Amino acid sequence: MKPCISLSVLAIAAMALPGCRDERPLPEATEPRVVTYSPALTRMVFDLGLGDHIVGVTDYCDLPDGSEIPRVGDINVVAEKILAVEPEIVLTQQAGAFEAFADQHKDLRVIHVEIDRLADIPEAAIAVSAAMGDAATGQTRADLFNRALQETRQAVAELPRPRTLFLEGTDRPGVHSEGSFIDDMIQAAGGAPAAREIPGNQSWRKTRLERIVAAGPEVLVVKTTAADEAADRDYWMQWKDIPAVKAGRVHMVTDDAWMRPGLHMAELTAQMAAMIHPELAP
Amino acid sequence: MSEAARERPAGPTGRSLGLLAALLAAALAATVGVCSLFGPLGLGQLSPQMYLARLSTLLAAATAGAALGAAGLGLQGLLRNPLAEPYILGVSSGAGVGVLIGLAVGGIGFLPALLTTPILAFAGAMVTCLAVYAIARRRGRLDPYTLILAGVVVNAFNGAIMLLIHLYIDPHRMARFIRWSMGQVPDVTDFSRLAVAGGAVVAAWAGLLWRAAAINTLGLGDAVALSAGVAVHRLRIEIFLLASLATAAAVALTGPIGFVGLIVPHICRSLLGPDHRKLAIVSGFGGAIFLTVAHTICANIGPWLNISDIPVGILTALAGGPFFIVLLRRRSREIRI
Repeated sequence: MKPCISLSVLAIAAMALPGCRDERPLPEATEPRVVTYSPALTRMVFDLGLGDHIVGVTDYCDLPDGSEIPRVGDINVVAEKILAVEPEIVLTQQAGAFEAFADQHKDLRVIHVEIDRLADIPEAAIAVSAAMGDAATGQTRADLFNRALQETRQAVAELPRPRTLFLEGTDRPGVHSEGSFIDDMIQAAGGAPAAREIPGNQSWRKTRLERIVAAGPEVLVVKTTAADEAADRDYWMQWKDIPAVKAGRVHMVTDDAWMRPGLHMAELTAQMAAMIHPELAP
Repeated sequence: MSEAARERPAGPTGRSLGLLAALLAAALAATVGVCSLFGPLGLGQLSPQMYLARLSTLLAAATAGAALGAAGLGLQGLLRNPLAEPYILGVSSGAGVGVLIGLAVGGIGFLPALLTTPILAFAGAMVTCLAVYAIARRRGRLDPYTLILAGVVVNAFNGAIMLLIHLYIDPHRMARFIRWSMGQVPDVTDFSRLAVAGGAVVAAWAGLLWRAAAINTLGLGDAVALSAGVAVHRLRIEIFLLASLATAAAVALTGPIGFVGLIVPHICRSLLGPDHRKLAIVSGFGGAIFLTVAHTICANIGPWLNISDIPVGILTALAGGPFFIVLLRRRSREIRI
């Protein structure tokens, strides 16, 4: 029975995943060689325990300590570098950039996985693991992710929702608004996304200090780097017109995992909930 | 007769120039005051701290605008080419290379952090100025079109160096570098940084004013200027140095903002005639007023376009591109005639 279950899960996963576009049949290989062409997908494959299949990553991907995997590109697609590691599957978030590559190399499966929203993450996990011949793992991890997220949602359900802003940098900081996984995380963590008060039609946009003051966030989460953390904290803590600063509710985060949507977002959403609702912190 | 006396044809007196400068300074102060009332927060809600932040931004815009206006005028007068300006000649991009190196390496050990960026910007601007001049100079003459082409080539070269520097920058810090290269006035400018850049701009501007009479004479041709006692070669070096200093200060404050040095001197020239003694004063103040207003427009127009913020360099390029084409066509018609 087991192979039948696996096959049906594979089939359902392939049909039911709007985030994953690939019309070709699933691979026969059970241990495919995979290039992950996005930091989020690289992290996701490792989180699924399938990192051994990865034969190429981008310059921007973080690898677990001790891993040495060839870097085969950055934002641009360099076919020669990718082909040099002889992949069977290329996982990417950039559908357009890989169009010509996919047309020219029909022996390879180029799989586009969209992860823009929090809800895309479990679907992406199932799609990725299914493509790599281990759909069951993806399903299990997706269920765990959904359960953890639901627990956080329930914990904050009855609490007031303070205006919360997640931003990056100092001068002309970037903010994440409607349509982004950060916006979803803020809502799941029991906050009201303050970025929606900031003009602009892109889900991620640069803005000005005065617009942030006008949006009046009561909780500020600042994504920075370890090197810039002290300077960025000093910068934001000087603006007492921001309610979050006045109340001392500015949180600095330096882990790049915050910017890479993946299965770890359930844990980060719980962390964000503790920032927004300190009474939930253990 | 001394060189200074020969360089000083009849024209505006020191008193009239002083009066002009005082009037324009008052106009600039009024512009900054009015612009400081416009922002996403109403004046009633603006705390003293936020007002100071907004004021520092406007002063940075004014300083950069004055620098670019004066530098553009100096280069146009020196090269007898109405198309010359720091951005088109690649001086801005040269300063940009210096600034990017400063940002990428995070400072130079023996220099205070406050001075690292302006000094590297000045070095980049100077090297570019000399390169463009050397490329365009043929048998002791500077052909206007060769000069523009030299600027295009050096601009492309500097652009490639900037891209190369980007490759060495931490990808997580890339967004701020890209945004900087669009040309924008920062959200808030440290007043000590403003003082350093402002000091450099005032020095360069005063230097241009001091040499304005000589630039007038140079406008009659090298031979006439030499016979009038102007040390042409020394004058060229001085003006290049002053224009580079002003441009470097502007780029260190705001990134490379194009076409201010083209538009402002031309408008001033069409209003006041060709006398560089008046133009040096008016172009500086004109540049300051122009960029202050442009910045305020950019800061406020965004929400109407459903954009949070528009870098001012985009607005000046949108205005300056067509302006440049008009000038280029007029210039080529004049040469054919």
